[in-house]
Formats: sequence, C-alpha cells, structure tokens
Amino acid sequence: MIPIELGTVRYEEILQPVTGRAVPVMKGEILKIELLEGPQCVDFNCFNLHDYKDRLSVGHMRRYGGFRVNPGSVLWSAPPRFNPLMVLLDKPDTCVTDILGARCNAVTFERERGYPGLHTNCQDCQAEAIGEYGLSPDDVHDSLNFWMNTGWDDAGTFIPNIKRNRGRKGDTVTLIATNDVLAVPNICGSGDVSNTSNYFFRPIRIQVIERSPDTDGLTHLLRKRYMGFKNQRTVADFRNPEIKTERALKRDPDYKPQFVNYPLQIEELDIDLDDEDMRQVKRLIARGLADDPEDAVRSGAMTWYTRNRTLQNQPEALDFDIADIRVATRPLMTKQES
Amino acid sequence: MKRMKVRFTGQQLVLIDKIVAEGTMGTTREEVIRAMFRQYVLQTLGGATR
Repeated sequence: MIPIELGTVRYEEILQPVTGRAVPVMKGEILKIELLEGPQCVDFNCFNLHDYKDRLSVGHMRRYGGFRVNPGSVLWSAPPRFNPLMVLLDKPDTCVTDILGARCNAVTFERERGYPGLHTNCQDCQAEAIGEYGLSPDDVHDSLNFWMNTGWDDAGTFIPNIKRNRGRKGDTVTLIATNDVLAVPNICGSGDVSNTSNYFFRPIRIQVIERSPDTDGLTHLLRKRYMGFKNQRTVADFRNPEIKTERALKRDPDYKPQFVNYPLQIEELDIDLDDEDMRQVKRLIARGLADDPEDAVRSGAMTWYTRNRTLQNQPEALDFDIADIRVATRPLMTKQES
Repeated sequence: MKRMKVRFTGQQLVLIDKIVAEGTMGTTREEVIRAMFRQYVLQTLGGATR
C-alpha cells in the first residue's frame, strides 16, 4: 500500500453545534471532515469558487451513483456546466451517506413536530455560513449528507429517521477538490429531535490540507477523466449569461426559444429482413418488448447501442479505476504522521 | 425477404454512423441496423447464431 503524501494543514476549525463554515478549497487540496465525539450528521453544500451558480447537484449525483455516495463518487455540479467539483476519496463504513434527504428546514419542525419556535435546521445554518461570501438563503441547495443513515421502502417512500446514526469518534471523510470550490459543511440542525444524529449534537473538525505533488497528480487524473467534454458549458456559452435580479417573472413577448436540434430530422430507411428476422420481430412484440414491427427493429438496434456502446450507470465507485485510487490514498496520512 | 420502412431520428443516425465507420457490422446504415437488431435479439431472446 502506497500512501499518498499530503501537504500541510493550512486551515483547521472545530465546528460547534449547530454551526457551519464556508471554506475555500482549491484545486488539488484536500478537505477532511472528522467526528470529534461521535455520531453527527453533517450536511454539505459546494460551489465553484469562481461562479456561484455552478454548484453541487445531488440530483445528478443520484443519476450516476444512486442514493449513497462512496469513495470514488464525483460531486457533480448541475448542468449545463456539469463540472466535477470534488471527489470523495475516503470514508469509513460507519459513515452512511444520503442524497435523498435534501436538507432540513424550519418549517419541517414546525409542521411535522409542532415545534413552536425556530428550530435549528440546515437551511438556515447553511445560509448563515455562506452569507460570509455574499450569498443568500436562496443559494443553499440540496445537500450531500454525511453520516445520515436514511432509508426508503419498496414504494420509494423516503424514511429519514428509520435507523440510528452509526458514526464514531474519529470517523473522517476525505474529499479532494477537482476545481476551486467553496465547501460548506454544517452540523445538521435536526440532531436533537431525530435519529439523524441520535438525538444530540456533537462537534466536528474540518481541515483543509494544501496541495502536494501526489494530490496534484491525482487531481490531474480526475480532471482528465471527468472534464474536457465540449458540452460542459461555461457562462460564455449561454445564450443569456445574465443573472436575473428582478424576482417577479414576466413574459418576454419577443422571446424565441432555440430548442436543441429542433425540428427533429426524421429519416426513413429500408431495412431488409428475412423470415427469421420477422419471426423474432413477432416474438419481441408478443413479449411486450415492442409495440409494432418498426418499433421492434428501431428499439432493438438502439437497445443494442445502449448495451454495447454506452457507459453503464453503475455507481461511480465501480466505474472508477478504484484500485489505483484506493491504493494511492489508503491510509491517508500527513507528512508528520508518516 | 421483407423490406421494412423504419424511421430514425437524425440523432440516432449520428450514433449509427459511428458503427458504420467502425466497419465491423456492415458498410451501410441499413446493414448495420440489421446487424444491431440481430445481435439485440440474440442478447435478449437467446438462440443459435446464424
């Protein structure tokens, strides 16, 4: 096992319940989040440091990796930018992650639990933390949740409080920044009224570790893998690059949408099929795999493409060259430790 | 032999043209589509290869 050699810790802070911190993490730097006393859910937001509209999209993370986040998972920003903001390098098994639960908010506690005042909550905690950078409550987005042992049933119903938090003192999550980001961890405000943090609040430590030749190399590898697609757009590509400041929506009667590839070009091809092909067409229709012969041929051909020429949507840790990364990063240790 | 008319979008044909360019499944769109269909059937319904 070859440990990666990290730089030195350039920033460290202990976050007390029920606070958060917006902290810049530059490309190639490492962010560590550590439980200091025991189980504690940590909500996490992330922005591109140079464009706050380029921010974490847990919806798109779900699209590629499922409900849980694991080592190797990319923290994608939302399309049309779709940038890899960070990559999760390491976490203990006791850190169950969640990207279903969004973030708790004050209304939840008032409506669901009858809390008469303003209960601590991640929406407001995140808003206070990012206020340091001039951002507003509207800029808080659905969070990546560390140490949040959520569940769901067979009908797809989200069950936030089904299991106790399994976090332990010393549990540490390690992320590497693949772009310059503003990372925003906060101690979940629901801790004292739910299993999310086992009915209590506990402090966490955050550390930002400087770049090193090893983390630069890893960042280069990750950026090569996840960047460079021509459809990862920047503001310069936008038809409307302006950030709207007027809150009310008004229709622009002169606006003309320019939908992609509209109108669609449709081409009719003559496909010669023999008796065996036609027999298979009928079998596909009989099995409910096609509605009619044309659909059978078209869907069949395109399904072949999907199966054989498409990156499959497996959890990204499995789609990752994980052996290299894990060997290179476990155990993580600082120069002092080594 | 039955000649069937099958509609494809221009976007689908962009992808199919990539397979045509590979040259391993046929040299025309029509040949490649039939080959893709036949392989799909084999993968989906099983059966002996031709």
